[in-house]
Amino acid sequence: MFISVRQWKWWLPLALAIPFFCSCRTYNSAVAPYYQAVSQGRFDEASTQLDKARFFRYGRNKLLFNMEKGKTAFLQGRYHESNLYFNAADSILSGYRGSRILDQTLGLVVNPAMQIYQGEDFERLLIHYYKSVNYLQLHQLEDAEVEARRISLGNYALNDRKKNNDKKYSNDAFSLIVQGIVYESAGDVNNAFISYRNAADIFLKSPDRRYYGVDMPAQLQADLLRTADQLGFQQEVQYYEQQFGRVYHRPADNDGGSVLVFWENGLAPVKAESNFFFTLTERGPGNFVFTDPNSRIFIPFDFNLFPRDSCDRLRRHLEAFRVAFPSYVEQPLYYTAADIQRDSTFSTTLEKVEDVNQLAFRTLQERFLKEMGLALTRLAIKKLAEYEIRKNDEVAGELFNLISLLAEKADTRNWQSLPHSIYYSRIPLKKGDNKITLTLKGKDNTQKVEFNVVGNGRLQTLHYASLQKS
Amino acid sequence: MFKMNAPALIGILMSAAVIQGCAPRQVTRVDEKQQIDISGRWNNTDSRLTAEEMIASALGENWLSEFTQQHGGKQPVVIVGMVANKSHEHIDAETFIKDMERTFVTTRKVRLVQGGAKREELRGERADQQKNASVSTMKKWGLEVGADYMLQGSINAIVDSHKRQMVVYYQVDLELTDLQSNEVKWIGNKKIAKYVKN
Repeated sequence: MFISVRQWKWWLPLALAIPFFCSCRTYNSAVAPYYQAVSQGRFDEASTQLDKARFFRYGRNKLLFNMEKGKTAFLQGRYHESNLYFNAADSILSGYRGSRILDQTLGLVVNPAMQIYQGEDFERLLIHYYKSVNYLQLHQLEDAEVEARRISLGNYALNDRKKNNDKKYSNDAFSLIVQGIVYESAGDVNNAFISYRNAADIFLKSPDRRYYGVDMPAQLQADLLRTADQLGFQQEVQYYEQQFGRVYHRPADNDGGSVLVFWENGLAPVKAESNFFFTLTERGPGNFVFTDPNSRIFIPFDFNLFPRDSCDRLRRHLEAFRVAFPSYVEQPLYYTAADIQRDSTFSTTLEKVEDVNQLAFRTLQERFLKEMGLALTRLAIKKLAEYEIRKNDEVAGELFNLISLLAEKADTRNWQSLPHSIYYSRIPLKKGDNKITLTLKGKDNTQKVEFNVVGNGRLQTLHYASLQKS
Repeated sequence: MFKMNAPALIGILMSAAVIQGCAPRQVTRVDEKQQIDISGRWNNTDSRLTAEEMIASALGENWLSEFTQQHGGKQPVVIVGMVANKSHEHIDAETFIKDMERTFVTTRKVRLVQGGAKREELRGERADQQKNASVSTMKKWGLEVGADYMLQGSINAIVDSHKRQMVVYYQVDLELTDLQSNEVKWIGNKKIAKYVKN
């Protein structure tokens, strides 16, 4: 193919731009040194790697940077610093983020990885969990209560986004449990009761009483019954005794209070890129759909965006669309269960309260059709633009096609330092020193971690993260 | 020369706009009494209507005149206790309770004494004065005004929802109990029902 000097003017900058848009690397590989350091427990190094990674300097990745920095500081026990980053992340999510048209256009014309990262729904809510624990660790109870109220707003927003659809991730039970813990720590038993009850009701709505990979925790049942009893809500105690199939026994008074232990196990799944192929076919007169080679998926063509004749044009010129779509890859667990003992007089097993891994897989599955529709629209727009360009300049049209093909890339960004799952349990304390031993159990390995907690009559929180992968 | 066709470019930009839509954030100050219902959850209008109803009922009913008659024109002293929230939402009762308290104080028909955490803080300050304040300005122990009545209450809600429709019914009950005899002297009640369609 002969290229004139005039055309070279375009080839050169485009050739330089291609690697920028079309890097084959996923987010996980782009920041691999950081995640390696996190999974191996080298948190100081992880923090340095975060500052060094060029990827996080782009404005579109600001939210990810703040979430990762917040998490690293949390793991380092720098609670105040952690909250500075999480507050920044929170304000990015709730604030005005510049031109959304420009951002959406960039996503449509180039690829969604070029858009400002907005976070997955569960990631947004988990920010509140970390902020709440940070505030509790810092004994800033009023700030923790503010966070608890923000959990309600986060849940309302999620509920509205999912149109109150019970079949989708429209509520988050874990964040409500955290909310209850915060209110209880601050002495607001009434609000704690409401949070626990709202969380329990989410589990009770499901026939198997499971919510996104988590069985209704017995700890939640105990907390709900206890707070109802403390408030004198005997009718509620009876109702939930019946629902849970258990009889409530008022716990013995313990003057040391109690400690709530959170154990973060493993790492969240990473996003990889999968390619899907679709063709545009006509199903019935004038009903165009994108369908996969096995004809299992049908995504209707959006006629709000295009005139009807554009479908015919697309069909005439095109055989198949390739869509790059993110898919999760699980990070296998090193430890699978944990026990906790207090001074060899009290022992219990930690219960799973949040399964980030399953949540990630299932929420991506839930929005598959919507996202795929958007991706196909993106491709169709590019194709139509290509035809228009071709009318004037065949070479430029060819170039545009090439760039479109190469730029097609899935958004593989996600908050990967999140745990695979979170477990919890509440341990009664005696006044003064209490030796707490956490025993982590894997296939062929066991690890013991010891803490000293001073019983002060109040509810305290403690967290431990084992982020190793097997 | 490479030249992008104008309709194609406009098409791309318009599609993006159609898909997402966009408007910069706009903030407008509104009258606090203007009814703006957005989500169907408990809001400022509900709090205001509850306060108005409760104030009118509490100051307009017989218990007040009976008390003043029986006590030689004295006003009753009220302490606010717990307003138990049994609803599904985190409802702050303080917003309407404060409106009631303010009316009690400004109309001088009912005297109010501090309760709960604030009372504890006051006692803490008084204790501190015993050590650190001059004897002439130090406030004494045991001279607090004892309340005649305690105001307590509850917030209940019933939610009935199916698919995209929802009816939320709130019932706020407040009651005034004679601290000496445990006799309930007044019951105020506000019911709010909302139909929400998504």
